[in-house]
Amino acid sequence: MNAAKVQKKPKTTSKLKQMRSDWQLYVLLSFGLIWLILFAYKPLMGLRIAFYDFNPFGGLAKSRYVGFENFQRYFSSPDFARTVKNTVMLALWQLGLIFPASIILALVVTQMTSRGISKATQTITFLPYFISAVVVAGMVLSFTSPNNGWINIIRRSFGLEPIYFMVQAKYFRPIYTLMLLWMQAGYNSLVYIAAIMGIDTSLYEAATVDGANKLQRIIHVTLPGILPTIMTMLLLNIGKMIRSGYETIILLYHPSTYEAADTIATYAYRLAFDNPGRADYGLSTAVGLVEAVVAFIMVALANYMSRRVTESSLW
Amino acid sequence: MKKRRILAAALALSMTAIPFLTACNKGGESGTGTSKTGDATGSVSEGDKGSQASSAEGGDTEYYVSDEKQKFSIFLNFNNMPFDPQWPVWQEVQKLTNVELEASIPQSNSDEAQAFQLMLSDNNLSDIIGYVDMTALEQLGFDGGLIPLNDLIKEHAPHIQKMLDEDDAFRRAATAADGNIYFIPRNQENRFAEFYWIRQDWLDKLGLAVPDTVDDLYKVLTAFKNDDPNGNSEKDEVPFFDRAGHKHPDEILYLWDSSIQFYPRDGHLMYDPMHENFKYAMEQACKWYKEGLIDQTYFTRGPSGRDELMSANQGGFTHDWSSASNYNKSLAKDVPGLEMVAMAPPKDQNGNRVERTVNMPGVGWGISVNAKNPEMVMKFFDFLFTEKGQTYMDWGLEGVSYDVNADGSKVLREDFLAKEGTPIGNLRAMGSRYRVGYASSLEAELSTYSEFARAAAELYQKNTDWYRPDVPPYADGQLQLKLTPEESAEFNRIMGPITTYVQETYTQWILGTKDFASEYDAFIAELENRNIARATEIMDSAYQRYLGKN
Repeated sequence: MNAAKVQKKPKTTSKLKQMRSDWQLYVLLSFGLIWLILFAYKPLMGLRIAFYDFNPFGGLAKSRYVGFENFQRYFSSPDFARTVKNTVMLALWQLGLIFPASIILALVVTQMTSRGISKATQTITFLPYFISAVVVAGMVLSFTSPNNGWINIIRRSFGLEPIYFMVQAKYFRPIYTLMLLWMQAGYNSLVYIAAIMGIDTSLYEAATVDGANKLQRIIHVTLPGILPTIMTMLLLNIGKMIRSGYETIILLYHPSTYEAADTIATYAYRLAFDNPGRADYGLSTAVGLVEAVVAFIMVALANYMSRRVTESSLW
Repeated sequence: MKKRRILAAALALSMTAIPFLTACNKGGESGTGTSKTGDATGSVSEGDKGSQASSAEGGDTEYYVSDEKQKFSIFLNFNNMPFDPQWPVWQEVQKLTNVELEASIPQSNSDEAQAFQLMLSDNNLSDIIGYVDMTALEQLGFDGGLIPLNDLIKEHAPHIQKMLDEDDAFRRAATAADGNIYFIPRNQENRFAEFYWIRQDWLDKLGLAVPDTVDDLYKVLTAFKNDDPNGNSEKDEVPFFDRAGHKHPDEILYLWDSSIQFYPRDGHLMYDPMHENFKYAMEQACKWYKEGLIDQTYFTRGPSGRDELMSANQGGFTHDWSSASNYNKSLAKDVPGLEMVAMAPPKDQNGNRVERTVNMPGVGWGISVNAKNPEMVMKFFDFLFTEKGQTYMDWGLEGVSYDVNADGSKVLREDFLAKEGTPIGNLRAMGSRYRVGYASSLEAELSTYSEFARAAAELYQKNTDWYRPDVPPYADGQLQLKLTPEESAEFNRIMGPITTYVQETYTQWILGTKDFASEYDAFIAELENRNIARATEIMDSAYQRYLGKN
């Protein structure tokens, strides 16, 4: 009893002491915290707009409080089911294509015996990441044009009818996902390449001694070695996929493809900014909040899966 | 451990929950003032010459709003040209009125909507405010940001009052649904807006007459499609094209007296897709598209589509502004013989000849609650409605951009017209023709037109019977009717989703991904289900107010 009391006191002072001696670290930490408070937490106050009939000039003080009316309007509109479905579907497409493609790209690049080809592949796949989304969308539009896009020129040379890809809902998801794949695969694979480089080479040597061929080495050494990285990237990306690229979608979609392309984010954008003279900020914010909730659910699900599979998780 | 979990959850949430109100800009209007920077230096020095000329009048205080110099801040950004008090024309105007203007928007600003929203949310209103969107200005008035100008006009602005008394269109544009005037519009004397344009040289080549009815037009466009009028022995002609973007359904449906907007029928407003004409119009439009008469890629063509099609010598017929005739000159070398001429609107299936687009008094400027001397601002506004003020806005500076003939009429100077860039762009670079409250004259409007554009303007101005007198002015395809804030909120809630639905369905019909004939009834039922009746009721009551019946 007495001993515990005596022990407790020096503990707190030592903590303070420790803080004082590590003050540089705390200063470094403070920058991140300030950023987080200013740009992640303070804007959360704006979510109150979702509960108001918002008037930008009067601000919240002069806006009418409407409770959950904006949410009710969204949930009862025919757009609700469609936008949620499209959002989740586009995320799943990305998850099914881009996510594994980045890993495969990383494996291929690291397995290449010629250093020159490996470096060249890395550079070529990495470069599209720096091209502005506007430019990429413009390229996609011109490639798929029914008159002079090269895809249709090739089709025509085989005697096939040209297809007007960008106005047909069924082509939207594949085209959009392929575009993102081209843009992001190289960049996303970087992390995996780094993780693969970090695997102890003696493991490969041991596997080779045991008679494992190249494929077996990848399956039994490389993949388990980078599995924690894969799961972390999955967790980090899944929320992003939900919220990703509403600006790219806006550049590519068209009323005739809304059926497959109109996500929660683009819907919210249209309500607030693409609606001159009739901006509905309250509804738009409510819709944006719903999107955040959907993204959160997806992250939570992924986190649960990750904990079951690899025992590594965010929380 | 538990704490860490909560923190992690909060972090994850915050990452996903940054709300949407980070203003983002899609595209932006293509600036008409592209020649601005190139010309700025040239016209400033010329402006100095002009100011010397008029300061010879010396100490003229006739137009002074006050003996004491007045200073107003001003929020204006027209076509991505933020207001610049240094423009030579405005230097003169400031000198004559003893007013000093101070621009609230930096010259580098290229997003009017964003600047406007920022000004509102900062609650830092400039003394004088002009904005592209009439409804937004009126809303600001309803919210108490702009002051009602009715009494100020009566007391301090005799010229504006006179125009309000004499010009119905001007008064209707200026007056909000609550009877107040929140902004002074920019009036326009000309009625014409868009024209129907056709390739006269193609008609001549194929030995065809200018189509008189929509059925004639069908034959002509079919000939354009099949008979190779551009002579490259390829079937690459695009008979009917349009660069109008979201207005596209209307531009096509107009031909059969329909649209996807509200339109007066028998004294009441009706949603055009509910009218019998729509069925016929839609069937025809689908047929024309299927037969390749309508641009197959118009959905993704964009605003530069017209340039592309004209310079490729492929476009044959369109509905567009006077600038559609510019190619006759600009492409004279590349496409010899190219001649776009205006034609009368083709008679529709019921035998009516109607042009739906009309020019209307546009947005101008208003006075905010922050202005210290609103009566001085009003006197300043009134100056632009005097003959002298109007001349500055319409014609620029005497001896620089225009000369006065012996009979008192004005002409743009030869050397000014010969300057690089378009005449209108050069006038804007001096500060003229800006989006402020003044009355633009037909004579000045025509002064920058090419001979083909002038012929078009005269044809449409002369035939007043093509314009239905009971139709309120259109802006960007939509009827400009004044709604109260409550009406407007309810209307928008109904029409927002309906507009998307109609555009989406229209496109699917045209493309043939959905069958029009079998889905039309379901379409009407869905419109009714989405409460089109209430939206029509709101619009009609505003329309009855417009007609002065209510």
